[in-house]
Amino acid sequence: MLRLTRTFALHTNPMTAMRKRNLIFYWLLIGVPAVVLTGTAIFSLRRIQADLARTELTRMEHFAETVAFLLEDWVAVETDGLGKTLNAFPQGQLTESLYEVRRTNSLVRNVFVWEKGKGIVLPKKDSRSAEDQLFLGRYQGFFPPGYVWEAPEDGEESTQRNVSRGCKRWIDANGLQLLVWHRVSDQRVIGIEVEMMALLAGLPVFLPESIMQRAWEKGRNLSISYDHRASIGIALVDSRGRLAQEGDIPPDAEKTTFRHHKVPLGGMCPTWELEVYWRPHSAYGDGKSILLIGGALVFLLIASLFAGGYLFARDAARERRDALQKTTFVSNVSHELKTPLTNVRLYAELLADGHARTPEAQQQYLGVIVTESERLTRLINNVLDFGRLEQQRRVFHLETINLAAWLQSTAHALRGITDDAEMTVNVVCPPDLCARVDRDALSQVLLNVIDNACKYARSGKVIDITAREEARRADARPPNLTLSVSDRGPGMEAHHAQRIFRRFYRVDDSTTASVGGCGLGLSIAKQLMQGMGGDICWKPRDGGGSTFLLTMLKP
Amino acid sequence: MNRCRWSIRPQGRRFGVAALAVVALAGGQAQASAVTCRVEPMRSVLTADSSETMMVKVSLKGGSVPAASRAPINLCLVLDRSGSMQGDRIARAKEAAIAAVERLTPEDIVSVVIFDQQIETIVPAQFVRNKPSIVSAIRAVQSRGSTAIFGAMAQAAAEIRKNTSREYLNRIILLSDGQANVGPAQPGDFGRLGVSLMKEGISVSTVGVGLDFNEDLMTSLSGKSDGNSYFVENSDDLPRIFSSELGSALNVAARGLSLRIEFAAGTTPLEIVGREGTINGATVTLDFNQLYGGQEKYVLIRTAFSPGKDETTRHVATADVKYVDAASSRSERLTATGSVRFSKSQEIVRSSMNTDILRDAELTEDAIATEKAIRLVDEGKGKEAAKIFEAQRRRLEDVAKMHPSIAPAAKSRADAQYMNFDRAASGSFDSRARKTEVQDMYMRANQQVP
Repeated sequence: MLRLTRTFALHTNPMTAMRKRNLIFYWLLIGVPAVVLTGTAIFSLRRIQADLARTELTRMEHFAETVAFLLEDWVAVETDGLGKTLNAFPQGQLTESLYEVRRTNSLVRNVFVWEKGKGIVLPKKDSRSAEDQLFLGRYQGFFPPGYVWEAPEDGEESTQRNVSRGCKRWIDANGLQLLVWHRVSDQRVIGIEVEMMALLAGLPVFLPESIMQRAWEKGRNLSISYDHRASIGIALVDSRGRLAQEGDIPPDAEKTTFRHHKVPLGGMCPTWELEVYWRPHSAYGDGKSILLIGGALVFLLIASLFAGGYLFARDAARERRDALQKTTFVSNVSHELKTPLTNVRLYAELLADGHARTPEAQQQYLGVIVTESERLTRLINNVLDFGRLEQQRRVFHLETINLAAWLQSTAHALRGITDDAEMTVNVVCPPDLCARVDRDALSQVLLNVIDNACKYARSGKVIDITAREEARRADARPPNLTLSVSDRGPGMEAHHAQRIFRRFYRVDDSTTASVGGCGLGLSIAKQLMQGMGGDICWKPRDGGGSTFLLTMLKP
Repeated sequence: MNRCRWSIRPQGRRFGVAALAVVALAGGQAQASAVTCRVEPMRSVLTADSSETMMVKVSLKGGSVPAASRAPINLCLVLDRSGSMQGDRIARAKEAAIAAVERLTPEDIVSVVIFDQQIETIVPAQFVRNKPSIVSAIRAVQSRGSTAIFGAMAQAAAEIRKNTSREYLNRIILLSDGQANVGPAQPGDFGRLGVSLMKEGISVSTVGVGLDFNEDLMTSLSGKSDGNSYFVENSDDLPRIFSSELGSALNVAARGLSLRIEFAAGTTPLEIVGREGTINGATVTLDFNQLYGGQEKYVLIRTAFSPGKDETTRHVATADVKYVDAASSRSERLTATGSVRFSKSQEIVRSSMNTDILRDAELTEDAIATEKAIRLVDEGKGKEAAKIFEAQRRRLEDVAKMHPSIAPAAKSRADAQYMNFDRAASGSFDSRARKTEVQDMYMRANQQVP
């Protein structure tokens, strides 16, 4: 009994008692945090995306500023070089040198000489060259005879007070113009008008390979790869439009997904601005994808919750059913044990008190005690067998027996039970029929079946046991023997045919009180028969009652 | 019939065959293998004792170039692949470019730049040793986008500059059918770019396709950089143009020509007509990137002559030419001089007229006047332009009457001006007529294409 209780305790799950309400509670317990988690994840993703965009913007600003600085620097170096050229002219051949530099240097558009009190003296006012006249038209007014040549305050040469050279910036209808000048003497200044087109033509070439790469490397702290052709466009613009550009800038970049950032160049090139265009660099596109991913996550979560919950609930229901059957079983067994024990004790006490005075009466009392103890033993054996079978520890010793002889002796041994039930057993068996079985197991099966008949079919009075050899089967396996045990009792509904062999199953629980039993007998019988390579099944008997067919192997 | 207007009529090649051949004015005709130089006043005899202003023509003529010894070329092909080039044009342009590459030798250097709003160097400057890879790079070009001519030129110049230290002939061929709409877009801007490229010894030849390109932009770029200019209405002609352009580029007799003209006492240079140059006192300097075999390039200088005594001869100017012989890559130098005689006989003075120079001068002046008038039409001042065209027509007709030997050339221009007058009076030039005129002006002003 102790061992039984422990086995059942192991099989009993605390979740068994969980109700539907609890299921919903658990679902909520998991589902609500899941939804909250998903929401938080989406929120965080968006935050990260915004952060990325911000970082990208900062980075592009930094990039644009660096490029702008390098460009400014480049223009300054170029104009400074021109200034140095002027400085190197020999005194006596200023005009020749100026014309020579204009002839050969592609960065020089025009040259000029200014004299104090006279203004611009070269090119000459009466020059018939159209270019000279255009130059005079542009600058004569700017440099009157009394003009004071000074470097601009924020110019790069303004460190000295009395500077000898510098660079002038003008903005006219054609955009920015640069003039490099050099003071030859107190009276005379020579200068160069920079060929802005040549300067510009140098820029785009300058931009991609060196400047952009350099600018990019200077600020390398993000893992965005440098690929100016694919994702970054850079443009130099002034009031007239784009002067130069590099990279992929669609004509309507402002309207598309491109973003841009402007940085003024300042310094030598006050009207120039640098624009950087880029496609937003984001792994999740425009936030819609985040919602999509988030939604999919939530859906998956809920779907798996439902699936898991369903499986869980099904298992729980099954366990609950098993547990219920086991509980019933325990109470049945207790009840079954109690009845014979009470009888044994009662008759023992009667004997002890000397109520049985005659030897016949004493013999009768002792008979009852023996019968009840046998019943008790049978019951306990059943329970022990059940435990052994459950744990698959039962070992079958198959041997060949003569079925007719075995039936005769067993029927005789069962007389005690059948006589109690006032039932007659008729055995029909060919005399030389042999079977390959475990003798003890088969005895137990027969005992269980007959005990069953005695319990439920007492009204039929007769039990027929018929053994016969089955016809040869199609699959050429050795023909089986069948042993049918029929009663003439009330029978049962056909849908119980399979279930009666399940452990703890009772056809009608209402009979539990009147008829002893714990729902193990047939279950054990089935396991034993299968263990020996045979089987047991139920079918209704013609003319009312039940027939149990025991199939077993021929030797 | 005017499908292709790139050919030019022969002009300025009939030297001293007229009546005044007797007069030995064409003093120095210094002979060198690659270049010949002449200094010629328009009239070899001036009226004695009176000051006068007259054109002096200084001409350079390239000698024949032996086919075997042509100089290697550093060529950059710049192809417009903007949306408007779609279809036949881009196909023909590619075909033409491939044909050009096929003509180059392993000694030559080639690069290919393509552009829309974006500029891409599909073939970086390299020796023509792996033609199939260059050709397949060109084949892969697809049309799209807008037109960034300025940036493409800058990129092309950068490709050329990689090899300017070599003694190569540097040439960019720009093919476009559109208006520059990214970056600088004014013809003036491109003229300035042309001037600066010229200083680096890089010439740009432009090929305008169809009727939508900006001919002012294209011609000023090629004109200022001493390149050739073509107008192709039908893209079928492109391969022929490229072939011709390449032929001309391969036919260069001399490169890096620097002309310095020292005018003698009593003569003062006043103006260089129709060309960029520098007048510094009595010195005139000019540069040419190259001179083709058999080609004549000249400069007309309006010169003031102080009075001279009867029956005296005066030295006019000495031209000093420095150049690089394209075949041998050696620096060469030659000089030429010219002189005039003074006479009281008006008949002698009149008959000393060199009508070839007169024709050159008239046609150059006509080109300048036409350019000015076309600009006026562009500005909507059709009436003013019409006046100029009318004046030019009359002038050319007068010249034709007075000098029968140059009458055909003068009359042909006079007829053109008559039509221009009609166009100007109606207020606008149609695209084809304008392109034809601009092209013609350009040819006359630059004596381009051999």
